Amino acid sequence: MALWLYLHFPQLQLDSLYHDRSLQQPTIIVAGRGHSVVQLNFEAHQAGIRLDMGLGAAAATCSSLCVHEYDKAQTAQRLVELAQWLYLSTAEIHLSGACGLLLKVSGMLTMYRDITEYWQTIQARLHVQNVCYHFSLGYSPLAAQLLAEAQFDMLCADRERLEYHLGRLPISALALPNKQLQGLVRVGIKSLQALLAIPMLELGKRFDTELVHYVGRLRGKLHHPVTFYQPPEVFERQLTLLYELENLDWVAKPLLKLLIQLEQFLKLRNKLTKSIQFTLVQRDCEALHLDIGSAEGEYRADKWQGLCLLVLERTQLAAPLQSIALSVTEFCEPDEIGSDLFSERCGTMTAAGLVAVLQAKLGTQAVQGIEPRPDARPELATSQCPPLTSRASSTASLRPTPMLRPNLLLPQILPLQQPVTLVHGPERICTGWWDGHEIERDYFIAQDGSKRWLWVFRDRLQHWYLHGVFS
Amino acid sequence: MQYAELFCQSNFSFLHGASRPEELVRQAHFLGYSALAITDECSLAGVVRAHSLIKSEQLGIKLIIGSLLRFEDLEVVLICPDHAAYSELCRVISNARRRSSKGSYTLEKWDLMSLRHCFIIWLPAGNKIDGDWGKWLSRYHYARTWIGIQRRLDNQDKRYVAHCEVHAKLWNLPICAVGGVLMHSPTRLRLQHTLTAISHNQAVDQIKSHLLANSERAMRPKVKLEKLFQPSWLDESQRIAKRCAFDLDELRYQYPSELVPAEQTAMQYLRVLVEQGKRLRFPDGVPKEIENTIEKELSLIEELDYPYFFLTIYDIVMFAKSRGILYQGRGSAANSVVCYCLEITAVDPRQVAVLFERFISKERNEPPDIDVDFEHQRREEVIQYIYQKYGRKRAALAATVITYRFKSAVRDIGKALGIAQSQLEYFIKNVNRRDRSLNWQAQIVELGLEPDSMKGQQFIELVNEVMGFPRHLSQHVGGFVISAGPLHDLVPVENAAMAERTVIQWDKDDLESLKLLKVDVLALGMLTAIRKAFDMVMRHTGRALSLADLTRMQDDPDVYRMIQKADTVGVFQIESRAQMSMLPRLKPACYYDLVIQIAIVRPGPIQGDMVHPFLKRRNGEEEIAYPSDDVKAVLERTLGVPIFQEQVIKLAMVAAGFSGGEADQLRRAMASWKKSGELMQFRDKLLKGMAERGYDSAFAKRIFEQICGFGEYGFPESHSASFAVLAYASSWLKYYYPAMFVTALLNSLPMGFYSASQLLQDVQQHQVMVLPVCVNHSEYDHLVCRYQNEWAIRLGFRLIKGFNQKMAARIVSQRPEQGYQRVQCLREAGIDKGTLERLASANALQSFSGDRYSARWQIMNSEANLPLFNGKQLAQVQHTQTPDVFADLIEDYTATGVTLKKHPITLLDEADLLEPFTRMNELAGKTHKSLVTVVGVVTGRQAPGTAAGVTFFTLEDDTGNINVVVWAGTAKAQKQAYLGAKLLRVKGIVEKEGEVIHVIAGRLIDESALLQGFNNKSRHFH
Repeated sequence: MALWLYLHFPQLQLDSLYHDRSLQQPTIIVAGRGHSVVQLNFEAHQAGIRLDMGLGAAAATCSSLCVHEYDKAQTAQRLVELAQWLYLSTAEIHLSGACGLLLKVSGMLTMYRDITEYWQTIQARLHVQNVCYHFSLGYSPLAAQLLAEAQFDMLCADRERLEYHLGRLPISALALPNKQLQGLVRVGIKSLQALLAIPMLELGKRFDTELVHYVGRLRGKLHHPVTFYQPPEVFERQLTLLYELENLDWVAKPLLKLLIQLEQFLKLRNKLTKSIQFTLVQRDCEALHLDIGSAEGEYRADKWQGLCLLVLERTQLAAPLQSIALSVTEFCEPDEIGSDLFSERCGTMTAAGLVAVLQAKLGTQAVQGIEPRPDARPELATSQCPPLTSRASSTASLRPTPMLRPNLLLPQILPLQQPVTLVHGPERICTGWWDGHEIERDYFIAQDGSKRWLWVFRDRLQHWYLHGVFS
Repeated sequence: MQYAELFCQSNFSFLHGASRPEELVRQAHFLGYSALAITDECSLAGVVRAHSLIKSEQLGIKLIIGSLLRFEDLEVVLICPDHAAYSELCRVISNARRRSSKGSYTLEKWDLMSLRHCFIIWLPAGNKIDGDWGKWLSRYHYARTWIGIQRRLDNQDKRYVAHCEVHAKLWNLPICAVGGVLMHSPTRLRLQHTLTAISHNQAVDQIKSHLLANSERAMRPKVKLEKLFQPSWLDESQRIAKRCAFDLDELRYQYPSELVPAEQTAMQYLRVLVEQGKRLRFPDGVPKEIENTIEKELSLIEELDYPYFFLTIYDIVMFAKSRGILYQGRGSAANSVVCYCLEITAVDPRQVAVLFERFISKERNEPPDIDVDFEHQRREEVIQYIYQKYGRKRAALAATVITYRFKSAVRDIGKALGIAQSQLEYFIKNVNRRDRSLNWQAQIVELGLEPDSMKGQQFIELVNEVMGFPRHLSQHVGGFVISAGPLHDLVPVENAAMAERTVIQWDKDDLESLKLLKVDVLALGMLTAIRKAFDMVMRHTGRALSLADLTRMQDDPDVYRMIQKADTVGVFQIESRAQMSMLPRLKPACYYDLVIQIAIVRPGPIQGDMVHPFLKRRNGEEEIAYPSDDVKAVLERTLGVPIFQEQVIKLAMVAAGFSGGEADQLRRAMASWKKSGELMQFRDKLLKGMAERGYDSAFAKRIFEQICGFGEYGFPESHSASFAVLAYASSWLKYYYPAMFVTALLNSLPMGFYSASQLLQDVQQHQVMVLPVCVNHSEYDHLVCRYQNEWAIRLGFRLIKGFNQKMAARIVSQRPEQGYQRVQCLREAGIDKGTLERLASANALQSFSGDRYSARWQIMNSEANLPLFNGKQLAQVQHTQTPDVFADLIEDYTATGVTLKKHPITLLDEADLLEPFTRMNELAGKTHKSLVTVVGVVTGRQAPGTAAGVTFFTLEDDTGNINVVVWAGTAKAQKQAYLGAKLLRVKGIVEKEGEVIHVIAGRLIDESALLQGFNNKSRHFH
């Protein structure tokens, strides 16, 4: 039978909150509808808070409490990181639930002298990560898990001893639905030992298959499904230049070489990427990192080259260039829409393409989209958004009748200097108390001496301002 | 210029209107409007409040009744020029409301088409569809339709006005000016926005497109209106208002006539019934003075024209009597000899003659008040009878207006301001509303709300503003309105949340304002218990009992001796901890003492600090003196100390010079003190009035405190008097027939104050044997039986949690003569697996299956269900696990909540897990003020509002219940044990007062760890 090592991390989120343990205040992580405590640090425990306490009770117990909400995604991410980290020392890792790693030991022992050395390596790796954990070996994945979760924390591969300790666990340690557990308790089966003593046949007569199956897996008689961790795929290439370059104009060729490699890499996998990272290593100087993005996924080397060159135009070298590295970590699937052969735009540049070029040329921040917002205050009636994400067409349906508004709002409201004739109005706008930018204005359409149509308003103090110009 | 506002919505257009009807009326009057129409959307729920305010403050403004209605794209305001139009509007609203579930309405085109009397103010939508509606309206309602123009000064304002003018020309309809008022003042815009957000269930900044862009929907001064509207439009509004002549005071209540035989008048019939009643109630002849009282009462009833009211109630109680449903009337009018003769109450007038001066009175100008309590398990029969007799068209429940209270306000406002839900819950859980030293704002700041931040200020301001705002209409607990004709001529009727229930749109105050009568049909658990106890006494001893019999037997000193010892677990009203601690001090010895006892442990007398003076005077430690003869007349029966709500109101009249009307307002303000906080306005008047008349200012202040206390929980003497009858009856039963009484109580649970476990412990301490649930002896209900020549209680299957009544009946009916012998026999009798398991859990199969574990092991075997094995004795694999005593105890509690075996404390003590402690039965031997340690299971935790900051813990050990008093300071310092402990060790000081013993807690130690898995439910703060 294979030997397994289980690592149980009871407070992953808490562990990743602070690194400086000396500065900690009582901290708890709460989850669920009742906001019950699921993780707590030593200080919180000292203050009298216990697991499963409600937030109200916890807060009543300790006044200076730091409360965080349980973050499932963060925990999962952290677990993957740990797996990635351990992968360097052990091959077969199964991510078990939200807070456990199952390591298959049997295969690894050929690499290490014995189990002790193996464990020391793992332990050393975990130590760096600064996480709290419990562990156990076991001859079935489930057995190892139960013991680890019960904080067995002993490196013991002796089958009889393991079984003895397993038998002493209460039934409540089993990850079974409450109903099943109660069913067991109600006939006096309170420990695993009592449970394992019952012949499978008798169990089968009285309990459903789920429980029987579970016990089977616990005994190692039935298969425990595991999927082993696979590290994510990345594209990383480095090209050392034959001679140092001082002028970036010369970099195009070597760059293209890398990009063609990327193109082949992507083509083989039928993937696209939206961003690539260049690292330019300079002599005696910090390496220069360049992120180049494209609004839509792309694999073609020539397209990427075009964008790269635009970015390089804006880049200055501090010292001669020694080597270039290209890395791509995120990939995306090819877009289903693709280019429509019959659409008018076929053959010309797509909007996304244009945005990518503009952003490469001008910098990402310089290119923005615009979308309407349902705010009555004119200066907040539109907002900037990432290019091409505006839902303008869908929000337009909210306004049945178009409003009489100038196309050009002045970036700054100006006091009204010239005499005007009021033509239309007032439109009264008093709102915005909720975010502290409350306004109280009467808007008018007016005409000045040169027959320009202006959008002006009067505030509560009867001061007049110019806010926009009609085209 | 004159202006009448014809379109104005109050906060009874829930989550839309942002001002109370009263505020709107006041503001309209202030702005000099000639008339105001309250036109809530498909509702008349707010009109009575506006009406009452105009009347009580004598404002010179006319109230017009109307309602906003929407149908598809059409918006119209219907207003009532006359009574016929009013009935029509009520009918339309009722129909629309009845078609839809609670809170919404569905109008049909026919409703609008069939209008014959209402005026229609059409509010064009401002788009193309208006063409169709303009045509339709001018075709069907030509002379009664106006176009109501609003000036909202928004982006579309100019276009909208032009649009309306075009349609007015097109269909030849006159134009009137309307405000579309949602707020009485522009300052309410924030609240209006917030309410809109609440109705969209989102934060304000997420629903900006739905918000009003400005505050133009507030009431506007006339100067401004003149600028906005053409004079002819304003005049037209005024003209319409002038044509509206309907006044709510025109509404007259018509009693159902079928109650009276054809050839008699109602009064004649009532006299006949009273005559019959006299013979029944006074078989030995009516004493002279009582005869006089009856005559006085009858002539008063005749003069005020209330015979129908008494007949209606008589009819209902006679139905209850015919079905054997126990009932008892209460309320000021109930305590009359007429009601005694009509069998509405069982209060013998010879015992309580002192009460009869407070029958319905002319001066008080209030409708008679009779509530009737029925057995709680059978009240539905009475309700169905009323519906059957009068039909759903003529009978409906009064509404209760559910308003924003602190918690709901914090939750909704917080959400609308985008404050995190968890923070709001945290506020709510940690704000102690009973902490009088620190108001909630300050407490919330302590809990981490930034008081200076914009959000913080807005939050506090809006929560304060919204508290008391109506949220929705709910049904009154039992107030029926019954009328001669269809109710919807009188008031709109709508569906309640409960299926098959309808409520009117007015609450009890509204009904009272309009002098409409309602009949209260209430439910009381104790009546069920008493009736069941009577039945059991009859069955086992052959002695017939009734409430009237018990009162007629006069006061029984033995029963009062028991009451004085505070041996009152299970007794009506005087069983609570606070009551029990008062009993030995007050030592009630007669019926009227009980009346006082019930009323004195209430927020009113306690906050007014009237308890101690009363006790002193009663014990003769303080002289009984009266500041004046007037006061003497009011306070004589309570030794010069005001105890009852009526006395306090009367005092306001005789000592502070309140007029009858003012006293009436005071009474109402008391009833809604928590909701509206109106009471404060009476403070100065009361203090000043009493000072002017030479009363001590400290006394006056105490009276006001007491008034506030009554506001929290009003308790009039008339109710106390009826409750005292039940308290006495239950005490009598407890004393003479404890087994029957407790069995009846257990069979009526849930009710009262104590759990089954506590009741059983108490009865065991009274030497009544309790026998366990057994599949071969028990029935569904608990039974009284003979055991070792004594009355004993055999627990029934109902004690087992989740037990099916039908299965219980089957177990009993199929039971073989020699009883069930095997699990298989029960299976064959058709008992399902769930029931079997429950029986096993309750150890009810013990007689043949051994312990619980093996009983369950047998039941679980699914082989037995296979057809081949049917009827065969199966070879059983021996099951080796056996439960220990502790496990048994836990299971007893989980399955039934009761254990008849060893108490947990005994078990823990035997296992030597407890440090030395004193048991409850040893406390009596301790000296007053001595140090003591007690241990017990926490079975009760009460923080009554009447006891500032004090929590009463009930600890149960194996000899009885220990009363522990925890002061606020102790509780705060030891929060953990205070909040969470299930098993508590208390070190404290013994306090003895006569035979009653308390332990004043000094240290609380949580010992719950000893009870791992122990699952005894305790009553938490209420």
